[in-house]
Amino acid sequence: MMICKECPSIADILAWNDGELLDRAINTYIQGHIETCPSCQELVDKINSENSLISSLLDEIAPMPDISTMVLKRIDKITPNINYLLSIISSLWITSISFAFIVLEPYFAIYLDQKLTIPFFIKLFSSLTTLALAVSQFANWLTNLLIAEKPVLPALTITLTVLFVNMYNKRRLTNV
Amino acid sequence: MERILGRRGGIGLTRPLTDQDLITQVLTGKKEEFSILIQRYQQDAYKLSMVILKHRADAEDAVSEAFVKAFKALPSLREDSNFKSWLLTITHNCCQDILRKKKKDIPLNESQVEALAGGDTPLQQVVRSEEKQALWAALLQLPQGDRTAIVMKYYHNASYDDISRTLQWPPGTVASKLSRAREKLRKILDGGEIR
Repeated sequence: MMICKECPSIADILAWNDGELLDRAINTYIQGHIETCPSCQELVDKINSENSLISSLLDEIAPMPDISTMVLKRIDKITPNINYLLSIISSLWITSISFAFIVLEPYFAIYLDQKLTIPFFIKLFSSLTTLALAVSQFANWLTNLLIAEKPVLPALTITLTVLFVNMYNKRRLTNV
Repeated sequence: MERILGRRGGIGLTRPLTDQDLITQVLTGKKEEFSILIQRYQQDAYKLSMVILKHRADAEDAVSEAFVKAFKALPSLREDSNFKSWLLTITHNCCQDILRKKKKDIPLNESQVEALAGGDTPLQQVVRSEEKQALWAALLQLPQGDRTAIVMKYYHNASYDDISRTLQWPPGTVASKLSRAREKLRKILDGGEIR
């Protein structure tokens, strides 16, 4: 292909054809030149046919399988789905309630286990405390699940600790 | 298709969600919306990876890694930025990481080149014309930067600025580098050697 002295460089023609020439004067010059220069017209035609060939070539690459589920799973692993503030509040709440029950519950258990003659309201209060302990632990655990979206180990640990300490206290007090 | 487009609005008032809409939703905690972006652009990223890595499994790894990195870096994406160009840059970087691990760009023999375009399917079934087969083989023989630039420009329609940013080429040199890359491509097609 002959390129005459007035012909723009191939890089300029390419940039013009790609719509990447910012200088309006050069743009107009190249446009005008190509309209009158058969060899540059031939070059532009060749560039355009190569472009469409490249584009159609890439179109024919067999597609890859959908990876969205796999990528989202990877993202889930690296970004824990926990609202930290709510988790901390929830953990503090669970811890304080649990330990309050650990301290309180055995005092009332004494009366029940030693089968002393005790007022009805203390018996009732003791039973309610034991019931409340079980219900509150279950509720705490569920709340923690809802707030943090994932089971949080501390909540489960505290629940189990409370239950074991409670069992131990009852056993110890029964043996007194 | 509905899933890839994403829809918003009431009955009769639906419009496809733009990339920016989806990014905003992802940033406000709706992680699952990121899957629409994945489905929208995974094939584009894959084609670029295939041209760079010339290996199907590596290309798939690079694409999934690119999406994970894109998710992590999403808060840093400016509102006026183009998600696709940004993703292609990340994909290119992931491909570079894989190439670094493998230490080199892999030269391919003819049968490997044929296998690339269609996996187990012979290339003749996928790339129908001889002209395309020759072009495909020639494209894969180009230096990695050159073929990346050609694919970014003539397949993904990326701007010279995007190409310059992705390949870390000095601004203003993209046209001349692309022109030289095309010259090399023609030389290979004519049976010549790359300079």
